[in-house]
Amino acid sequence: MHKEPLLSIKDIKKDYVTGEIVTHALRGVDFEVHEGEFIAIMGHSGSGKSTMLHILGFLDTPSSGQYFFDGTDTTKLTEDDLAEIRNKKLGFVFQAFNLLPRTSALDNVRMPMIYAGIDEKIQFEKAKKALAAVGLSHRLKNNPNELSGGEQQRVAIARALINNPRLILADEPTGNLDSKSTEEIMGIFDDLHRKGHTIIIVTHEDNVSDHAEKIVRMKDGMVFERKISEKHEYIAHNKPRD
Amino acid sequence: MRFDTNKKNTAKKRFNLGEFKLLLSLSLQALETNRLRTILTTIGIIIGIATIIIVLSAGRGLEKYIIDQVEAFGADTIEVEMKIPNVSDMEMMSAMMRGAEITTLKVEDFEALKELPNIGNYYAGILGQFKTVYRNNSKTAMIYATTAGLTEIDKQIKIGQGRFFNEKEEKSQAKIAVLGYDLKEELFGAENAIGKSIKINQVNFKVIGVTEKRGGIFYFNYDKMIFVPLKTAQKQLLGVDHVIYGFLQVKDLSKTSETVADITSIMRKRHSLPPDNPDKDDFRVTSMQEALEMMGVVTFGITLLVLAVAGISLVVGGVGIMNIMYLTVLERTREIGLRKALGAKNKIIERQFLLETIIITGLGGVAGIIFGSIVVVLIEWVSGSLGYSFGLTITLDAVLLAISAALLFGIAFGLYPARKASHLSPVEALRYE
Ligand SMILES: Nc1ncnc2c1ncn2[C@@H]1O[C@H](COP(=O)(O)OP(=O)(O)OP(=O)(O)O)[C@@H](O)[C@H]1O
Ligand SMILES: [Mg+2]
Repeated sequence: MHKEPLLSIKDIKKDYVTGEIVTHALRGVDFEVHEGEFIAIMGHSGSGKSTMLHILGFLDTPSSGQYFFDGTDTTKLTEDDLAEIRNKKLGFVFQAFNLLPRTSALDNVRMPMIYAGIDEKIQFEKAKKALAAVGLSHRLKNNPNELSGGEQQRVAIARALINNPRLILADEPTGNLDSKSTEEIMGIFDDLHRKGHTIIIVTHEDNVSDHAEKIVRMKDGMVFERKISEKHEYIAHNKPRD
Repeated sequence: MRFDTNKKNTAKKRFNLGEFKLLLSLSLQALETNRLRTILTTIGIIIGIATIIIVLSAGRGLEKYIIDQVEAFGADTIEVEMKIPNVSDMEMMSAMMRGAEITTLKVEDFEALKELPNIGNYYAGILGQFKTVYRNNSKTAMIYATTAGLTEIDKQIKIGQGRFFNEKEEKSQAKIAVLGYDLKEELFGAENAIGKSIKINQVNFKVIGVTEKRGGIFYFNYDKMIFVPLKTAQKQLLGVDHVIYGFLQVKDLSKTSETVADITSIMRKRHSLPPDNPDKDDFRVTSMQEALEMMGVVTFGITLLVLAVAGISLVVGGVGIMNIMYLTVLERTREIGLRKALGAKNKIIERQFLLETIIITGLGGVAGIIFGSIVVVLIEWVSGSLGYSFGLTITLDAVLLAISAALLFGIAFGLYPARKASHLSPVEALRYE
């Protein structure tokens, strides 16, 4: 692959200082993601997976190191620039869903478009379509507390996709779901991958990482293994095409 | 495709209607989705603001009431009243209750004092209580026996019908009377009283005037009195030749203290008292100017008290609002983290919270001012219909204080936490607990 990567990080470190104690959550990570890749990050609890994903998604800043995203050196960007990247180029899916409480599915999905300054009529049209795409046409007006975990996560995915981002980041998106909902959610990720979306997913579960093309293993704040998923081809080929 | 960072920052606008609409819809949505919190916060502000309005108007009213009472006697007067020598005020009061009388103060004393260059007019008087009869109606009334100067010095006594008696009539012991407004109503009803004859303690008096309604001051209710010429009352009703007090009008207020000294020495001479022993005095001289200055101290004390009460009510209201806000800071901090993760810029978040605060404190403030004013008007109305007027007034400074307090609450409890939260990284805010 000779194309420039979508993102690359070099020697990224992250230290947390709590009083006297310093935790080295990341100890110098190098990492590249190309357009269209589907990557699973795995590793033991506390190995730095979430920290890495937060830095990749500009939800947190590294203590040191370089981060190029979409051709730009992001270490020099202002907070507003980063907000703009989060808004237009990134989509997040969290383990805890993180929907706005007491706010309808439709309004939750509209939120990134509101901050993008998109015309209100278009907001509603696109949000309805996005919810239909995750099979929630009948739940537009429901608040999060009226939705199942799987449904809430589908709303979150619709929200993550709404501004057509360059990169989708998901931190244990199936961690709070049962196996049936997990399969449904992973089916959506497979579809997105097939349509050319770039996806990074953090997971503990093999049946989730099996959907990815590449698996990156972390240990003690370092990447210690990168490999091609053996099952990916099999799953991809045995999925009915739409 | 490169990320262009310069494009955005060049276009700086002062006011952006699109952005305002966005903020308004965000704020209204946030207020609507958190309806209970919105309502509780607004109620907290309403109560705090209304309390300030009520307490401050009550304080102002009380202050004004007290000053009015003193000024009713005329701010430019000096009072000379009889006093039992060698005793304290308390002892004198109880002595008088038991019937002790000092009969040394005479109207002639005032005639003499009037000759002082700084004294204009005077009036002197004595009070008594007698059965008063008109036809079949009878009433025990307070008789105010006074010289004719009364209405000239006490400007609050206004004649509604007829006229007050003059000096000549007073000196010639004319049997004429001026009725207080309420007493006239009680004796005559709607009937015209002027020219009619009434009996006071069996003696016939002709009614020549009726006062306008004035309302009570301290323990005095002028509306229930009968004003009778001093000489007439002394000879025909009371059988005495003294007065209990009198007021002298001062021409040049800047010389009041000298005049008080002059009066004191003249009185001592006239009553054959030692020139330099106040304990032996059978009279007391007080200038209303001094009294007003003393009242100034009292009303300043009242103002301080009122401010303290208003301050306490502010703190109480504030603590209530703070509790509600504090309970929601956790949720709101996470909300801010989420909004930032979805691409909200700090200034948009801050402005959304500012607008929410303005809406809540604005609504609460206006409602509080209206609610407080209604209570004030109600108190005035109820007390007015019971015959008292506190003169409660809603003043601009109370309203301004209330509004600034509301804004302060909003900023301290709504905006400040939001500002702090918006400067956390999205992850920190999302993890906040
Ligand atoms: N805000 C923080 N303050 C201090 N230490 C932190 C903070 N966040 C994470 N850490 C530490 O950094 C290390 C990496 O944490 P991280 O959340 O990235 O792990 P993880 O791989 O996602 O774990 P898990 O699988 O349990 O989610 C851990 O040791 C954690 O205790
Ligand atoms: Mg994690």
